[in-house]
Amino acid sequence: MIEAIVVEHGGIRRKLLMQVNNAVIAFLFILLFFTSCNKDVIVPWKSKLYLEFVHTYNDKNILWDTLIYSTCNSDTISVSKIEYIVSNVILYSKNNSFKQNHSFYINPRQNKIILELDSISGLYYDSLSFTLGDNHPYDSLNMDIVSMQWPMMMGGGFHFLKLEGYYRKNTMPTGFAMHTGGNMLKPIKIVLKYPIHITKSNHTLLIEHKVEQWFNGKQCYKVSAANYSMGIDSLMQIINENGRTCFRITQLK
Amino acid sequence: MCRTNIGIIVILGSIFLFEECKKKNDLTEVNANVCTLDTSSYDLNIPLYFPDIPACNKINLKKAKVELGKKLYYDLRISSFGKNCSSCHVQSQSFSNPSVNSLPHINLVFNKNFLWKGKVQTGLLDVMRFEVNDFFNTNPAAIQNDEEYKNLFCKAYGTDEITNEKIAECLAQFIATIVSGNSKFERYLRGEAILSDSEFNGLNIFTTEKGDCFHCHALPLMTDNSFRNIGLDSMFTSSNWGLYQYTHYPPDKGKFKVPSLINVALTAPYMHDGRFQTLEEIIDFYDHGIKYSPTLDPIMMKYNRLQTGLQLTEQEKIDLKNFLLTLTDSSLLVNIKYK
Repeated sequence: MIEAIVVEHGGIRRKLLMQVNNAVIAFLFILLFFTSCNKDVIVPWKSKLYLEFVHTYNDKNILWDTLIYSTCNSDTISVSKIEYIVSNVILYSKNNSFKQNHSFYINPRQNKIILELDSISGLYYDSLSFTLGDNHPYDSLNMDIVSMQWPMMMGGGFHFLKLEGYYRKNTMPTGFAMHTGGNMLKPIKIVLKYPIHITKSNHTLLIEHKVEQWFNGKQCYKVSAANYSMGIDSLMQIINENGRTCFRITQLK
Repeated sequence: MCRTNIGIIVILGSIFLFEECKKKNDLTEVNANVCTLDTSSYDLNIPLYFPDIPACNKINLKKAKVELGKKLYYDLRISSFGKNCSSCHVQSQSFSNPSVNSLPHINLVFNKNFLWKGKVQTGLLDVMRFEVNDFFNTNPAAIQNDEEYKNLFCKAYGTDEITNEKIAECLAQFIATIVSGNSKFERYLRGEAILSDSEFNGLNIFTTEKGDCFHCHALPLMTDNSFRNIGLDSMFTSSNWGLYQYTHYPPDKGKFKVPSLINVALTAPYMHDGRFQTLEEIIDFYDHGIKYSPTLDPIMMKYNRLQTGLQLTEQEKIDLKNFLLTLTDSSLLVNIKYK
């Protein structure tokens, strides 16, 4: 009887010891796992929002280098280049806002444009704003942004926009260039109302860039009358004004 | 049973951790009997105001690979026809060569597009792969028995096995270190030098709509890395197709890489075909020599430029040339790091 109790007692001790060992090893293993090379911390309640810019002309994906588009004064144009800087992206809700300070260089001919807003903590936003242009994008001075510099001799800063192409003049394609920017002008603020309901870890917001609006916005920009905006403040003011109407959110995915 | 489980867990965990770490750390397999791997990093001295190195050129520079790349750069055995990199890229001429009109090997680590016609547009390492495999037709056996190379490859890779891929990588590493950022103009930007009145007037012409050089030759690299048709010709044949030769996209006809103007005084002749011999000829071309074609860059047609030209005065042309001369970085030409 006593022997049986001792044996049973010994068995329980062994079992207990084994469980303790088991727990210690498991704990060490978990500790080792989290202190090993993978330093990523998963924060499940933060989301990523990707902003995808889609470039259209008259509601259809833009066809580059093709002299088919008509503007407000019936100029026939093609578009060969659009480069711009997007900065100060802000999401708004009634009680909250989320701001992304980085500046992004956008060139739809180089690659698909997707901006990443990381660690968004809110659940519901009702609008998005961003600035077209930035005169101080020094946080990410990559080569593309450097090539957008506005020379110091003309006031310094950065191009907000370079939009270039050709228009038909006496049957011959002739160049035009709409550039705006520099420290002398305020960057163009874009505000877009749209319900942005964050329900999962990754969302994509499709933003349509309606290129025709640079010509057909609040004021008619007549390419054939003034095919270069550079050095002409009044033309750059028209471009900036029209720029406010060039973007709209089409979908949250 | 319990011990078996624990054993399995520990083994599986170890395998997982080992695999994870293997992914994140450099492999440093070393043939201990022969080689001592040197993994020390090379610190690239990037001048103030220079942009970040683009993602396509984020090379983990190692001293041993740079040293090896330098030796390969000057070794005639690297090609099947008795030439090496320095045959076309001479240090005293800003790593270019007038006889072949080669683009200078300076600041390439900041570039995304390479060669006049854009044959390679994916990064410096890919350019070197092209040079080694296609242009030089390099045969690693040519240097396989060289004891010095064996030691250098040992230091760089932990093994003395020589391959074209390693040769390309080391050349890319060495070329990535050739950085020019000490011209008079750059010293002026840093507040270390003063421009003369003429040079300053030239800068003014260069960076305003007057001369409008800055849109393509963007500061501080003096190139925006783009391809453009600047109006050298009005008709295109296979000899001047430019980028179109590789893209087969008609709007690319006549487009060539915008070269950096750093050390431009040393890199004559000019343009992709070397048609201009002097800076004066270039300035005259931009002033009143641009030819129309349907793919002529829009910037080149600004303000009726085709009809009227830039209308620079003779003094303005001299000033512009004097500014271009301030872009010469003499220190690069004698820097022993690159010899």
